Amino acid sequence: MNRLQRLALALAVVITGAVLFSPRSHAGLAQQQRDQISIAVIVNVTPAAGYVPAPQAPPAIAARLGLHEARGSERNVDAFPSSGGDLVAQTSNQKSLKVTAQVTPNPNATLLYGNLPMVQMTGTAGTTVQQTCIYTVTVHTTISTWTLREGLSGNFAGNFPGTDLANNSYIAGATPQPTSTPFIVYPTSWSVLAQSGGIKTYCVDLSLTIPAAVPGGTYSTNAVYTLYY
Amino acid sequence: MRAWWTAFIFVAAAAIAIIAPAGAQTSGNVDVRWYTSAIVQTALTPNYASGYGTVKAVFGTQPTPAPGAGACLDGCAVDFGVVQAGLQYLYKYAAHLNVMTNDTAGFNVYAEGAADFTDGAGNSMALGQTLFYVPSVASGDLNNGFTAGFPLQVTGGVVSGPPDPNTPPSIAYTTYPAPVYTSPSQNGDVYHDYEMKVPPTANASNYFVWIVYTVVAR
Repeated sequence: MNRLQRLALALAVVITGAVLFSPRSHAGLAQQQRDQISIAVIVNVTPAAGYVPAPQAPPAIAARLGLHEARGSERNVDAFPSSGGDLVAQTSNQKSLKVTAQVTPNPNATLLYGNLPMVQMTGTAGTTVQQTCIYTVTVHTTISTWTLREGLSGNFAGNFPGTDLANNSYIAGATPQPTSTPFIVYPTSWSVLAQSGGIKTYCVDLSLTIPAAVPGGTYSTNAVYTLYY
Repeated sequence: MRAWWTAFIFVAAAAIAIIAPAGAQTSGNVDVRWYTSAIVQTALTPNYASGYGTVKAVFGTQPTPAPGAGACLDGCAVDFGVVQAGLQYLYKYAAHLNVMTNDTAGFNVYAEGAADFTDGAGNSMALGQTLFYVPSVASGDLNNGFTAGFPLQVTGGVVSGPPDPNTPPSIAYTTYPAPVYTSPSQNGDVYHDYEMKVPPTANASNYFVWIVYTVVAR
């Protein structure tokens, strides 16, 4: 084997290894994307103790009416006493719009689905919150070999990365994994939740570590599941 | 006779002077104070920019938005058109709310559904599990169908009437929900895309819902 042949052989080994050991590439070559769903993860954050909030908003608009008694005409002019609370008149304005949709059947609607389109978690900044089997994901097919990938569509916010959310996904009814795995955030290649076959339902435990510096408020991301075979 | 009248007037004036207490006033003061209620003006524009319409949720290159027949630029309905059960869609440039108020503290915006999605014939889809709003921009929207959104919930307020596709409802609040937008300024613009997660078990039909935006001066 001359030098050129050895170089070609080494190159072939490297390429083969890259194909075999890269899950995304392997799935991309051998399997096609068949379905994709997302589950919204809404997080309500309470500020951490000691967190200094922004200056408070001024009080609501109030209408206050007080009639002082007219001296010298007590019995004849007084309208009503000025005791009692302020009269509060919040000024508002309302507009509405119509949303319409024509829903049609989808023969693949149950190929990959979750039991909930949205879940909510509530926690205090600087703490970790966990919820067991907060949602399930089901692959419903007779295909004997498929791959299910998972990831997040984005971060919660600039200072609240999606990797702070970890999942422990396991067959419903079975024992959870020993540890949770942080979600991978798009556009990084998503991780493989399972390579299996037939009908499978996965329970998903979520563990969320909220950075202490995250201000109170509502945050959101989507957990995306993609089925290949 | 003239002398008699002169005497009478003199005596009457003297009597009044004696009866009336010294220092009595013939007029009083009324002190009225008030705070002026803020004025709020809003304009809600559906399909507020060209390129509005429905996009199936995908990553990467985005399909061309395609609204339903019930949509039109700067008006009409936010019509997703034909959607398939179990799939997810984005509706670009769905709603633009322009707010002006004379309240220097700014304003809050609330957005809620008057009811669940309904077809008026017994089929429905839970609004809070189906329709989400996604913060958008005036133009150059880069959202896709998987961009994080926030659910639009059915109101807990009192709605003016049962769901009617031809009658915009109003909502009377005793307690406001969490605002979808808070402005510290007197004037502001809110831009929303909508996201729809069609339930896999949704029955085929034509659905509608009214989304009510309420602006309250702070």
